[in-house]
Amino acid sequence: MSIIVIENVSKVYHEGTSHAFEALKSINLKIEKSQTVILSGVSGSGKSTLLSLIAALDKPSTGKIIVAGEAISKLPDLHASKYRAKTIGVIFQHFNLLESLSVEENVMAPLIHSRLSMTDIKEKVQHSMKLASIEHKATQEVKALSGGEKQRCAIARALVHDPEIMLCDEPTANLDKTNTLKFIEILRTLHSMGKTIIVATHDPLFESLDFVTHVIHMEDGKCDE
Amino acid sequence: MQNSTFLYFLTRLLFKQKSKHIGAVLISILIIFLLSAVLFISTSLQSTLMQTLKNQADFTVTRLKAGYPTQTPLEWIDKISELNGVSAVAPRVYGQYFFTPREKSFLIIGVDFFEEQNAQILKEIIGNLELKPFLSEDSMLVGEGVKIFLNAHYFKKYFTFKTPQGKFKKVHIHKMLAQESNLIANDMILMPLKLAQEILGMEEEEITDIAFNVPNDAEWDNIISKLHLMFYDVRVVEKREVQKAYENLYNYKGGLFLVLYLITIVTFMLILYQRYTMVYSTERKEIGILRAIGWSINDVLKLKFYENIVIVVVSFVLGVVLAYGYVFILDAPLLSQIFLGAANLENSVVFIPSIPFGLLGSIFLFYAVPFLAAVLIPAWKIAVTSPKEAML
Amino acid sequence: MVQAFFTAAVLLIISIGAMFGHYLYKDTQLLQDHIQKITILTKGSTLSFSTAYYEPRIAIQTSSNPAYPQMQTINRMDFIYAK
Repeated sequence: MSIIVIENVSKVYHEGTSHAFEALKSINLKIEKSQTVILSGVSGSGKSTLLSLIAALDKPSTGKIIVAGEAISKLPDLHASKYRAKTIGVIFQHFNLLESLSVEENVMAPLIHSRLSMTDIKEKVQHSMKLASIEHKATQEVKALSGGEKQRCAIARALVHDPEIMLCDEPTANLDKTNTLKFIEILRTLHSMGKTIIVATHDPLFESLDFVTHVIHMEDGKCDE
Repeated sequence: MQNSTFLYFLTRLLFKQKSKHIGAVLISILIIFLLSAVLFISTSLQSTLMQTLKNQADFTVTRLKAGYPTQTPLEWIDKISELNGVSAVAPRVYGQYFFTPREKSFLIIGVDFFEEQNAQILKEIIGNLELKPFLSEDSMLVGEGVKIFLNAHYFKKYFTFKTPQGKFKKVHIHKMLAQESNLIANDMILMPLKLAQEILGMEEEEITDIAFNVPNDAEWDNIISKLHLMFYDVRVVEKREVQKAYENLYNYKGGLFLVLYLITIVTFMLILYQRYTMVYSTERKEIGILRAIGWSINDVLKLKFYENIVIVVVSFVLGVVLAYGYVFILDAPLLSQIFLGAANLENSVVFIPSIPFGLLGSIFLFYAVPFLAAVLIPAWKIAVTSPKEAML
Repeated sequence: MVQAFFTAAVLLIISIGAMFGHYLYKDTQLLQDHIQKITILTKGSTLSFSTAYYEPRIAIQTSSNPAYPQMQTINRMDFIYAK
């Protein structure tokens, strides 16, 4: 049973205006549970747009997206937020952390409205930070971290609520070789935990990884498996 | 459980981002402080005045000459006493004495110290006053403002008045009135009736005006008509009019400040709105990130609301408490001069604590609602855009 | 940080308490008594405003606004206090 089903999805920005732009053109895709999928392609091919649609950060212009049996393409805000808080963990290219807060506080942020007790939250946060190897920087402010440490903080935040699906948008674009390799090791661990992982990247290093299930090339808003 | 987690996150955010809020807090405290201080002074003066008005005579009657107040004949007292319903008819002798070299005025009030009630009150006001020595020579009791002024000009024991007849009258400065009575007695000089008449240039059968009571207020209009029929050149001032005049006085001064406050608060709100939309990019990104990690629009607005309500409440409380301390503990050093003036003798008044809860509530609403609107509207605008767009 | 927040909240509550304590327990009777006694003695209770009454003897006004020479200075409140 496919965990992610994308049917005839298109995304047009600035629809109805003179500078309308079709970022995705009739995408059809199915991703099985526990697969690790690489979306490869140059900048502007539509990889990030597809990821943001799967994460319900944006809505498709046409088509349907079904994730874990739930149609998410036209979810109202409250349900979309709940979906993101429960099912999806996103790692962004520019990390998108709350700079004024510490690592621990950033990792805790997704669980604030989760109805868990403070003790449970702190336990999950600790576990998540350990998984991402950032627990030694728990009380440090994010703005004082290096690029690799910020990435690991973002990973910990994405994992804290134990999501089924991990979405990584150009995760190594701002990292050096050493940190890229460290990131790949973390991905391997996540794969072994049975998580469904989708990585959007133009780094060819990812295509040759042994735990990658398949690679989808994207070009000009279209994809071919 | 959920609330304590939210509170934990809220307090962390507030303390970590204190530099963002400190400007707004300081300005808010200043505005609230000034407004509350003005309100406290105004309310305190008003309530003290209304209390003292209760002891004032219901009516005062003066003679007019060509429309201007002039000396009132003493014989009017007998005629007024004959009116039905009138009681406690008493003459009043008072006037302004202008000290030319320094262009300052004193209020001279003549009191019949031989009257038992007056003598008794005097002994209560001045603790260990010996009436005989006081009345044996020309003596006076002075308010604190007068005492300080006379001391500064080397009139330590005596002061010489120049009468309108060109004579000099040396009067002994017997004692100073208590500081607690500064509100009405700061520029006051109390002296025996005859001495006051001499200094103010009045004849023995002349007084300034006549005060009396009419216990039945249904008779008041009646009495006024009778007085006008009795004397063609009379001016009757009722206590009601005095009360209204004082209310209008404070409304005028309060009104001036209200206009200034409104201008200030509108400017402040504009600055705040501009500031929060300028911080747009950081604020926008933060809200976008929270939305991306699973926070709904309501969650984001709840955070922003509570963040700013804390700022509003802290600013308001600090502003009011500081204003209270400034007015009722420090006696409002500079601000009181706006209400009491500083052109004549300086007055240091002890304000009686009075908190106008209704007005404070109104100030809170007039401040909190625009403040929250100025902050929440931009936050809402960002929260409803898609998280992806917000994070750009 | 929650502790610091609670400390700040407690300090705020103490300051409000102190203000109300002062308001409720300050002995204002002495003040009121003095003022009331003077009022009874003088049979009047005009406030002791420090205003410059209109004085015909003053030929030259010491301070004036150069832009509006006829305008009275703010301390001359005759129009309110004139008999």
